[in-house]
Amino acid sequence: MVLQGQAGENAVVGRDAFDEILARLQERGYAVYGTVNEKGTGIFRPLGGAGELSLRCTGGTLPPKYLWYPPSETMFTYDRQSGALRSEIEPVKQAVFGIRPCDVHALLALDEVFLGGDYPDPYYRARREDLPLVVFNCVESGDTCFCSSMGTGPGLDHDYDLLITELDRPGRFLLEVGSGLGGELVRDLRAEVARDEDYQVKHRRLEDAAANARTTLETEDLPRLMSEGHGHPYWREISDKCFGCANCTSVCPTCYCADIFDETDFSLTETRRKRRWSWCFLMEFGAVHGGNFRERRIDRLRQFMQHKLNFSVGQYGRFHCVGCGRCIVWCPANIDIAQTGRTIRGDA
Amino acid sequence: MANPKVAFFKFSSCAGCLLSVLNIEPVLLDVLGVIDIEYFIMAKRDNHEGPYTIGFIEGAVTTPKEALELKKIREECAILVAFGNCACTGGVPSIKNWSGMTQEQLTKTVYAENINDPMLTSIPAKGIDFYVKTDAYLRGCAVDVGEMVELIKRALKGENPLFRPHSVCNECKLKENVCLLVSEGKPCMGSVSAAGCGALCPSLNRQCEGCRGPANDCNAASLAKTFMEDLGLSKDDVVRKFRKYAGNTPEFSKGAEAAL
Amino acid sequence: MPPDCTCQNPLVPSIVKVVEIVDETYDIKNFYVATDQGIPFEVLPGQLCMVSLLPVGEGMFSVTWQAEDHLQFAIRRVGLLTDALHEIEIGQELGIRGPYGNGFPVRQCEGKNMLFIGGGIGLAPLRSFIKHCFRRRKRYGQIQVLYGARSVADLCFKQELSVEWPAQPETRIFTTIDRPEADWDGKVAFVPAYLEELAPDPENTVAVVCGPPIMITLALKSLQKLGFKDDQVITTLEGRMKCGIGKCGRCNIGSEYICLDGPVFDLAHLRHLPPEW
Repeated sequence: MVLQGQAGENAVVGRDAFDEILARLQERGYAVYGTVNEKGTGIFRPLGGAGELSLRCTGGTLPPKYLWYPPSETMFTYDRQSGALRSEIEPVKQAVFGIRPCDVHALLALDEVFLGGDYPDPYYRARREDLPLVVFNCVESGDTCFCSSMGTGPGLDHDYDLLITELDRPGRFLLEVGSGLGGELVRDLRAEVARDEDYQVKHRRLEDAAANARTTLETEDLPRLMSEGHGHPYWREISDKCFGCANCTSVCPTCYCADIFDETDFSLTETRRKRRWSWCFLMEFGAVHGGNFRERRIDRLRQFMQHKLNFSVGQYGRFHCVGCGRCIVWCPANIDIAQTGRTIRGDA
Repeated sequence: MANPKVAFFKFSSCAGCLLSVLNIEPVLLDVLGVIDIEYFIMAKRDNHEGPYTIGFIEGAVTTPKEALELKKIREECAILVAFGNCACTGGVPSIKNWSGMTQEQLTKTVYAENINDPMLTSIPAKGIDFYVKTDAYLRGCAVDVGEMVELIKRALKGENPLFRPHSVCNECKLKENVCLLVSEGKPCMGSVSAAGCGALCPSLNRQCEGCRGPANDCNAASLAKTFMEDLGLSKDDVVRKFRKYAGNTPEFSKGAEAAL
Repeated sequence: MPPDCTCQNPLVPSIVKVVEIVDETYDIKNFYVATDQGIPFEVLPGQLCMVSLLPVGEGMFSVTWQAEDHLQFAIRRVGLLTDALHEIEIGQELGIRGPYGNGFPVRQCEGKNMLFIGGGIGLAPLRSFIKHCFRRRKRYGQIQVLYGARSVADLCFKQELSVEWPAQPETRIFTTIDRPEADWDGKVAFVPAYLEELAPDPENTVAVVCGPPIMITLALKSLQKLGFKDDQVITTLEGRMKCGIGKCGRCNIGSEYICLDGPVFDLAHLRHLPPEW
């Protein structure tokens, strides 16, 4: 059959469809990013062609976050001579091919932070408004993933332009069109009709992935238990091990803490106000005049985990930990946020 | 308004940091346009006495004569910058502090047995802030000239440069490097070392050696344990790692002691 | 009234001019700022603004008073930005973003007796509430202000403390310094100790506390001893703020942002925040 290209349409496609979809995104002027298998892990970077895509990788190192929230950006420039403030925000056209459900939930969490409330952030909006997402459901669980515990995967059923789930026979994928743009990307492509068996395979694979999760965390009543466990001795145990390297916050897809500062060029005539990533792990993050309210490593490590598993619920109504497991992979001291959650709530 | 007067001094060191100054070709002209280099023996014949606006000091203090000279320089400089790891923490020269020999034995071992020169009075090697108030630190062995340029720009405005002493890990992650410690079991010290170098060594697949000194509030003792228990390094190797560049610092001292 | 200029891009400041600078103490100056049309936006007592002195930087300051045609910021010289601010002259342009924060519960406190407890520069945010009460004097009961500083030279708003405010009906002002001084024949005591000595009646009273962290901690304990319930005590917290709009995470404590949910909190609320505070 041939795809009509409408939201809600489903079909089964082969890998060759990816090439076409990617090419169409590029034709429409989007810089397309995806995960490739390099350096022994998943690296998220610009894609040339769909052949580079890795289907296996979960997690990886840097999450796609830097596309909508860059590590450093200029907010405005100030001309000292004329006193003029100039802020130029250009919309950015980027697309992600192969984003995972956990990272989509992370994106939605950041949407609330940056676009919700009384002060929507125009810099974030410029990168977020036109962001096609081709989502890959995860049919396998990684070693440290616990998306099923956090309600962020392994499958997604909202906020996608195209949703792709690998079926049993390699090279066969269930394609679900989620939006008008998604439809345009697949219109007139050859495909097979999606039959009942295909949907069953999809659901079975997702259920298996969830059941085989090697890391779990019970989230029922978790915020309250984490608050009550603020003084639990386990915090001392892990902070004694913790190197203070802030790897966890560097690879977290929902971390958004920032530093804002002014930078001037050599001629001393133009100043730029910039925003760059910061981490609550830094000593100076809790510094106020006359003291520091997070001087000890235990306070900073606890702040990171409490924010992800507890405070964010009070602030935004959702866990900011999406169970992607990256912090667990990259912690050189083998500290595990899911293990911490389990211990504090007494499940260990 | 006259350009600020800048001076470069050297104590016990390899001169690598001073040499780096001469390597800032891309911005050399910009920099020369806004400062007057009044004293820089490595580069100029025509050097002038102080006072100076900014003094950069390379090298650790390893003799009493150097300590006295340092105090004099402090008085002549409005802003004093520890330039490079030796001046910041004692650096490579500080390895001798744990040799187990007296200073006299050290002198006789390094120089000829019968040398009897009052100039060669060796004292434990320390960074310059052990003796004088230091206004800024440019870390690294050798310094990162980008940071030096940033410091000069900021000093021209009378401000602190915004160096953030977070760990090298953050820079590695931003470059999406493979973690040498976690993925390859190499004894990389990046997790406890101060960033600012752009994770230069790990980006070239070489483990970080901590040449910029400790990251803020790092837990070197825990890393030392990981090196021994998970990576199988010997106690001596771990001690050597933490004493190679910044053994004088409290954090790396704890790292070395954790192995002893 | 000009529209709120920050609605388009909340991270870019609008420009105001410094129209007056009053030296309050050797390290505190009160800056009066305005646009050509008067105040840049309405500010409730207790709210904050991010003030930029380009190219030095930006900092969070509470508005000590919104007058008819200008805003007042009382700023103490403590670091890079404030040092630079203390060097500027009348006519200097500043960037301003705001107003941020929840402000004092001026409405809910109507009909109550007010007890203001301030230390040092802490009087600056309280002043916006105190003057608000005097503006609408009949809506509030008895007003007491207990204010202390390290020394006579550190007392700010001396004119108002010694002349204008005591002249208000049913108002008592208590000023103290930490250590005896030759020309001072007033009270010598630390604020929390003086508070216990005065033993104000908690009946239908709201206590508003602001000052250095140690003073707040001790004053809160004293108030508890005197019988004040947690919901009768409010304070305004300081945090290191960078964006002012709840995006940079710096002022996050527990499930709150000081810039959005605060800076004014009552004691009952504070007790739920993580202990490091």
